[in-house]
Amino acid sequence: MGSIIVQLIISGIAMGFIYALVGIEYTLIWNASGVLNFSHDKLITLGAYIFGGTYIVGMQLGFVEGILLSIVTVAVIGIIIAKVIFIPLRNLTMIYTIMATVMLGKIIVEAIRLYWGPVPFSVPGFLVGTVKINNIVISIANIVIIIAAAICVCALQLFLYKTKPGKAMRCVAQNRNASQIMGIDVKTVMIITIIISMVICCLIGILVSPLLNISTTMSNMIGLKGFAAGVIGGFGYLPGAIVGGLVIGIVENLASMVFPAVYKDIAAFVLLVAFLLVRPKGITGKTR
Amino acid sequence: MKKNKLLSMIIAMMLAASMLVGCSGTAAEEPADADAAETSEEDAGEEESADGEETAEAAEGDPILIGVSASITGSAPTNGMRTEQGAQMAVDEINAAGGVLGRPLELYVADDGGVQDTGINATNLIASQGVVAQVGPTLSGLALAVEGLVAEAEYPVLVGATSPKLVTTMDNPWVFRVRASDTIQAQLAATYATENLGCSKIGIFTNSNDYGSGARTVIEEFLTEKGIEFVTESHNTGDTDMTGQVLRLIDAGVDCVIVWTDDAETALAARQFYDLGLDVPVIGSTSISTPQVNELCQPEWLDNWYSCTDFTTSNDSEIVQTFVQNFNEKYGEDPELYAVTYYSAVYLLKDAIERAGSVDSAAIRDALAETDGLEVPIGTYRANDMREMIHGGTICKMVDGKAEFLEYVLVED
Amino acid sequence: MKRIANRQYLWIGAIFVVLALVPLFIDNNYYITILNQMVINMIVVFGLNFITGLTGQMNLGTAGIYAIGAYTSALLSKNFGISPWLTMMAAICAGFLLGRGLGYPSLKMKGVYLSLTTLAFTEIVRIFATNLIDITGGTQGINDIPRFAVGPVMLDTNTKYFYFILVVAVLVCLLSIRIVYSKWGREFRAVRDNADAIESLGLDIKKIKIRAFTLAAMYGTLGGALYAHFNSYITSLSFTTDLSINYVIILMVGGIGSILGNMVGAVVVTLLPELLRFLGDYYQITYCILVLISALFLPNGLVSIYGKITGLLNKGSSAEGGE
Repeated sequence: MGSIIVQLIISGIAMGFIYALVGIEYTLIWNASGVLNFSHDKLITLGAYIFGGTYIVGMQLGFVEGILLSIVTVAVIGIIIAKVIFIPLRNLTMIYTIMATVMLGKIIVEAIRLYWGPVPFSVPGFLVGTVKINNIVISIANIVIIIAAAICVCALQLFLYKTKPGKAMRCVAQNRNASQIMGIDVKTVMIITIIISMVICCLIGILVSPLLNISTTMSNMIGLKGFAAGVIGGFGYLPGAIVGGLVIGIVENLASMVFPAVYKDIAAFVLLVAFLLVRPKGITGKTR
Repeated sequence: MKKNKLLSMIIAMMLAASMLVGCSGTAAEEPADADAAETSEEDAGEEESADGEETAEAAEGDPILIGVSASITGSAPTNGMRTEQGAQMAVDEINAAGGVLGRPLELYVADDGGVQDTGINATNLIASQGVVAQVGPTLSGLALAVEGLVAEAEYPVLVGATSPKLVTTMDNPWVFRVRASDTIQAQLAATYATENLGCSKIGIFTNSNDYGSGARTVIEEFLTEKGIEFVTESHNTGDTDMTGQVLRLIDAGVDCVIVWTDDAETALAARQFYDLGLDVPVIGSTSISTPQVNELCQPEWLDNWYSCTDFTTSNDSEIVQTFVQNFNEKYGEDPELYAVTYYSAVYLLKDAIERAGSVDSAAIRDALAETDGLEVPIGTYRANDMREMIHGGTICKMVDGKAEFLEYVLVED
Repeated sequence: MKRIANRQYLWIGAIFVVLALVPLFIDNNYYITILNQMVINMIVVFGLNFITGLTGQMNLGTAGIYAIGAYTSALLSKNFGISPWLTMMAAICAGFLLGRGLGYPSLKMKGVYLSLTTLAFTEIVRIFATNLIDITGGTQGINDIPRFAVGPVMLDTNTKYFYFILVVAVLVCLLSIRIVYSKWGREFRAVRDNADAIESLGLDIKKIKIRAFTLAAMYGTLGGALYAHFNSYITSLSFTTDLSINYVIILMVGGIGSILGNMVGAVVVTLLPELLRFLGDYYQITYCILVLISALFLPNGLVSIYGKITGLLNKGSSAEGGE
């Protein structure tokens, strides 16, 4: 029994880091443009398809080249999406921004189906296997995800606090109008942010592909739970997303000890509602 | 800014025009329909010529129209693509061989989107085209949603849906089932686990959707009757982490697991069983033996897995092998369950139309109900009182990540 | 201002009349079914208009609300043999309780939080509906939900049912108009346009929001109940976030905050995917692109075009007059 609980917690932490990365990725865009990006789960899927479908299975490249090329491709797509969708959206009210990003997500899914076909697939030999310590199992993909999440957060913090574009991003996040007056090119900052967010999405897609396989619906649930992670940790505060993600991952897995496992997905949403009710600032108490 | 305005006006015009078309649909209804039908035919035709196949010239006369309701968009797109491929291939073959009653067959494909409203609209649309019969939908929820419509429209529909509810809660003379019901498949799985593998404590791991939960009920009843111990765990469609369930199965000390879930979840379960060390024989639904799931799994994950299925390409009977070869030539892939289901269904329709000697829907229905011993790749069709066509299933063992045919078991009912 | 309102009523009436005339010319079940779906969507969106349109609070919980209405009426009428008239009333009551219960926590916060809570609510309802198989039938759903009679007329065909819900829609529409131009309606709009001013007047924003949300929930459950009895079959597969989104699309495409816009939106958005079917494989993506463009470039919806066109014409004619 004890080892089961430990295993559940370990698996929960592993899933938690995925939620955390999702939380970070959409928080970035929220901070920079005030748009809640509802297409983020589809962007994750897109990243996985570009990596798996085009570069690895299609062009038979190595994993490292594949990842690098995917990131470049996604960055280019990011510029286009930023210019066509996010920048025009920044001054509209929420209903339009939400609907536009939802529709963007649907368009991405349909485009994926038409371009890569509807059959799910996996990337053979990519991050497969597990590490076993005593009776506790953790898959290599999860370890890589944890490391990637840690690197992402550290790099982002450095970028945001130590570099000029990063500082500009923080200014824009705090007050878009004032930043504009102070001579910050808000549009450029937004484009940079969206590119960073898209690259993180792409990385998530690549890293979860051995866990979830590559299909048009692969990231629906992690997308939703990523939202919850962001709110529970403290909306708009990046390290908070990690706390939130871990809390959700662990709580939902432990919940499956108590309730039938089909209800464990509810745990994340109940936590979300409960936090909004009792402590809307989230666990860390910091929102932007 | 000016450009935006112009663009917005154009878009607005388009949207408004679509509304006008809708309102004036009263008058323009017929031509609009004809357009839609033509386009979809053209689509199908183009696909063929791209494949280098010749469109049937052998059969002449007015085509006989058959509707296809397939989940082309939505959550089960693979399903829809295979459905279309299988049905189209059968139609091409039949037409090349002279058609039915000297007339060619023609498909009218409508996307059911995998959701209720779109599915209802798809079937209504098919019904309004004057089809003689319809194949699909495959999702049980959709089949239940449209059964009343086809009863009203009075033409037979052959569904690949397998939920027991299609038999237990309705008595619709127009609905025929062309796959083994979950009752048969699940019984087969439970029998194989207890008798052939001699397991005494069985874990049941199912999807919470109609597919999994229908089978779960059957297996539970079967095991309770036999007095064999079991534990049940479920997961939701789209679940990504099943650690909790797998650990509970291990903790319960099961010596066999019956897995009943869809393609994506089967592949996830296979990995997580392997990773977490649930090292017992696993028997599962047809998903395990489909190529799309095999592709997603490393071969070692599927060691000691068995599959209860309608169809496997490794069945060495001549009719299956010919089908597999032809499908491969046409589409460059191995066929799987949905392709073979609707390929066979179209042949069943051909057989019924020929026996009825007319394209009158009621006559076709009666002929379908009298089907007895039609050999098709999916098995032998014989209609029972409940309009079920298939009464057995295939057991496969997974070897090197590929399904290998073990035996075909006939279940008497 | 009054003239605009009058013209709007004219259009609303015209749309209802056209809808009522359509079945006289076509008896194709395909179109009649779409008409039914259209009018049910209209009823739900009239409700959504209060909270998302007038009050400006993004609600993604419509699918959950709709599901609760559908299940309430379906289960009560099927399992207990209660008249669907009563069960539909029960569904509306459920909507009232839901609006109060859910409105209180979710409307405490501003902005994006409500969309996330309501999104979570839809997911929770869907997961319960899928897994409480003994009650809801799960994804296999509930079939044989009874149709019902209005006086001596049994609503056994889709056409008869259509006329019934059309009457309901007209009543609901009149109620909406009444509310929109009452003190409530003005308060709703004030919350959207100038929340600070409301507070300085000593009004309780939260109360106003909850009122709008409760109205939305009651319209939504009514729509769900009508839907259940129309199809005679419901399954948990239908009540996804996509459905919630679809209602917001209707609201947005038609024109946010305008009752006429709601109607236009319901007509266009219900018809559009069906009309696009001739595009074959590309119809879904085309539909999505059209909606995206309308979000980006037509923020006031289709109803704003009329104003723009007349505006242009007026400008043109006045310019001419000046020469």
